[in-house]
This record gives sequence, structure tokens and C-alpha cells, in this order.
Amino acid sequence: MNGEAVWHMSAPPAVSPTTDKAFDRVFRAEYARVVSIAARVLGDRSRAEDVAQDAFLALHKRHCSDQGWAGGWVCAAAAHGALNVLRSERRRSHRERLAASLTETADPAVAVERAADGRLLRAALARLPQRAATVLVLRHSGLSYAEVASAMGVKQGDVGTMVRRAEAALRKEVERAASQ
Amino acid sequence: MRHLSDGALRRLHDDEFAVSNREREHLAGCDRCRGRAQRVGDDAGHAARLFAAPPLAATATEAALGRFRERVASGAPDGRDVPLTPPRVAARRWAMAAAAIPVVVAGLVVSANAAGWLSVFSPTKVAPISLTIGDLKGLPDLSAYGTMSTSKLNPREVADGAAAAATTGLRPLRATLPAGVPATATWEVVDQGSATFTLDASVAAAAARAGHTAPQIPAALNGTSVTVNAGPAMVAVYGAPRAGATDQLGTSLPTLVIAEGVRPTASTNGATLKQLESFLVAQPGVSPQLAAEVLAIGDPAGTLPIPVIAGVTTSQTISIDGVQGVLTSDSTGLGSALIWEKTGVVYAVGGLLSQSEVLDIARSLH
Repeated sequence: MNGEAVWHMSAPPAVSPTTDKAFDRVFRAEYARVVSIAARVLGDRSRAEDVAQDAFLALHKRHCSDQGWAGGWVCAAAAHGALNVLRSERRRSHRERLAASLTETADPAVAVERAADGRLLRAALARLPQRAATVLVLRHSGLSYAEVASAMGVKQGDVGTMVRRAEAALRKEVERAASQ
Repeated sequence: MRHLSDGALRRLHDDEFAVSNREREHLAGCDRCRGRAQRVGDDAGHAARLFAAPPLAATATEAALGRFRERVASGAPDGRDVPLTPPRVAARRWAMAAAAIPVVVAGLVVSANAAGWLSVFSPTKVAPISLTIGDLKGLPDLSAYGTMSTSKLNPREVADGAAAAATTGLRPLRATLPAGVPATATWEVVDQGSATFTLDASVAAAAARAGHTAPQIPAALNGTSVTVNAGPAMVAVYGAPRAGATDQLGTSLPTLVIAEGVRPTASTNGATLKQLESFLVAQPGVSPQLAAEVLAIGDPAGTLPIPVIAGVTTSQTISIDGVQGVLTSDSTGLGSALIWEKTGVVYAVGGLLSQSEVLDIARSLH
């Protein structure tokens, strides 16, 4: 991506036992939430778990698991990772079939509706600016305003405005796609 | 009282106690805000329906942690290179976009041609110029080209708009502000100042001896000075933290900045601007694309280039007050700025606002 500031992971130095303990705590506390964030973006449980592993690996290498913001950071990393996968993904149909199988519901009508919503959402997320998509994913995965602010490195007072703008942009994008 | 901001309305949708009593009372009595609250709620509900997902079956956290440890221990952890944009970098991206505003504000200049100096730059219009992050990093280090001397702009805060106008001799501006922008501003002024850069082959030679990449300065250009005269200018800042209160991420940006200043001009005692331009675009570190952009301006003496950073900012030209302006936005849609020049004065309106809000404010200036 031209001009995009991208951070690539570097090789990990030796890890101290204390940092390891802090890391395990964050992993146990956040793993389920991190997987569900990635699954919301990808509609695919197994890919979501891969993205979660990558996000925790990034956290592990940063040696910041003992920081208060580590939980929020790994959530944001998962959202970024999942959005990047979504954007680079070309073979959508394969994943959509997996998405349908993920909606473990008894009512076929509900399942069909959910799959359609999922397709619309993923298409829109892939087209929205990364930051707008990230704030939507984090907020609608249940992170509080304070957690979103910490995860994205913005002031808490700005999160309401960011969410509002992103939701308006999402709706416009979905309606545009639906009208085509 | 003022209308509620979009952000306040959105928070209110999640939590009825997220705003003050005064704001709630205003909302109860304001049809416009209630209408906006309805749209905010509709869009939030729409997003919530799209994101609704059945709860995942229980995650096998311990098994996942086991897989993670194996992956780290195996020493081949980078199975897939997922470039992650860390929050801090993401936060800085808008800061870089915002840098376009101070570049213009700091460059607001008065023509002051000393005898024997040739005016080479007195722009009458603005135009976008595209850069990439790579271009910015690759730009040559001017300290290997010669010497720079500057006079102080002496930035300082003044009491109000009238004081700013009196100090600078510029026209005081009033704007109609949208909901969410604080009504009061802090006013700052900068004096007229100047910067002179002199191309010096001996400096370049010294840099080359010290092992730095140094240019060959053609004899025709050696000793040429370029003086840019700057100021006075005035800036109204709405919703900003006090000076020095910017947080470590640099994200405490003002909601709105309105700036005006006499246009920048430059003069030189030697080479023509065309000669200087040809020399600079041929320097190592200036990409062919950037060189083409610079040369494509065509009328460098009459055009103030507004940097637009690929992947960070986007731009379009917009008609404003009868002239052409450049409307730039950061690519995430968080902030926008509009810059234009009319009758020798450069105006800039920008902040954490949408393009349409910035346009409305700019068009409301009187």
C-alpha cells in the first residue's frame, strides 16, 4: 500500500519469565474476545483463530504485556490483521460458505438473512478506510469507549465522533452496494 | 445553548447519562438535535444489526495458548506476514496530514524585495502536489547544500480576533460554526519574518569530506541566495488543548483552525527560479514521480504547492469565494482542510471535521 505506515515484526529477543507470566495472563483474559473480533470481520472461525495467534505474537514480541493497554492493543491488532486479510482475500465465495456454516442456527430463514448481512458487512468493511473499519469492529465487538480509545491511541472524547462518522460511512457504503 | 455534537449524540445513544443535564435539556427542546439524534440512532442500529453474530462456541483458550507456545518455541513464528499498523503510527498519520496547515501558516509571507533582488515567487493560486512517505524520507538534507539564516516569527497569543487583526493588519474573520465546535477560540499571531538559504559549494564539499551524500553545486548557482519572507499571519484555534498540553501520541489536535496571512513570496539574488527548480528536482532522493509533479506545476512562480501525501491525505480542487482552493482530507475521513488564496492573502480552514463541514465554515467566513 503506497505510503501506508506499516510496522513489520522483528525477531524476538529472549523473553524474561516475568514478561511471560504477564503475557499468559493477557492471553487467557483476551483470547476469546480477540477471536470473536476477528470472526466478526472474517465470518470464519478458523481464520479468526489464525489472526488471533498473529495478533498475540505481535504483542509477545513487543514485550508490553505488563502494560495496562496490552489488552486493548491486541484487540486492535486483531481487527487490523483481520481487515488486512479481508482486503487481500480474493476468493470470497469460499469464505462465505464457511460463514454460512458458522451461523449455527436452527431457523434456515434466519441463517440466510445472516449470511446476506455478513456478505454486505464484509464488502463494506473492505472498502471503508482502515481506521473507520477498525473503530466499528472494536465498538461493535463490545469494547467500551475507553477501551477503543486506548486500543487506537486516541482520546476517549473523540471516540463518539469517530464511531458516529464510521457508522454513517458504513450505511452509505452498504446502501451504495445494495443499489448496484 | 449550542447544539449537541455528533459525538455526544452517539454516546447518548449508548448511554443516556453520557451527556450533561444541560445537554439533555437542550435536546428535549431542540427539534434539530432530536432529528439528528434520530439519524444517529438509525445508523447505529443499522451497524449493530450488521455486526450481530451468534455467540461463538466456547473457545479452547488453553489449547490455543499451547499452540502459541509451540509456535514461538519452534523459532519459525512468522508463518504469515501480517503487517499491523500499530495504534501509535495510526494516530500520527493525521498529524502528518495536519502538518499541511502549519506549512502554509508558517509560510505566509509579505513581498519585501530589497534592491537588486529578483522576485521569483509571488503565488496567486494554490495547487496540490503529491508526495509519498518515501518521498518525504528521501528528500535531500539541505544542510549539505549551504547555509540558512532565519528571523524570528515571534508567535504569541493575543486577547481576541480584534487584537489579532490590529496586530497583523489583516481582516478579522467571523465564521458560522457547526455543532460540536467550541464557540470560543484562542488567537495567535506571527510577525513578518524571513528565511534566507544560500547555496554554498564549500559547505557541500565539507559534507562530502565528512562522508555525507553531497551535491555538486553548479558554478552558476554557487552563492545564490533565496529569501522567503513570512508573516504577518493570524490563527484562530477552536477546541485546542493549551500549549504544551498535547499528549504523547500527538493526537490532541484542535477541532478547528482558521488561519489567514499575507501570501508567501520569495526572491533571489542570482539564479532564476527555473534554474533552481531544475537543479533541485535532479537531486538524489527526489523520485522521478515527485520531480514530474513539481515540473507539472508549470507556473512555479505563481503557484503555492500544497503537499498531499499519498495514502495519508487526498485532495481535490474546490471553488471558494470565486477562486480555486485545495480541499485535502486524511484518508481515514477524520479531518479535512481547505486552503485558498485571494487578493494576496492565503486562507486556511481545517480540523477534525468532515469535508462538508470545513466547506461550510469556509463559505461562512465574513
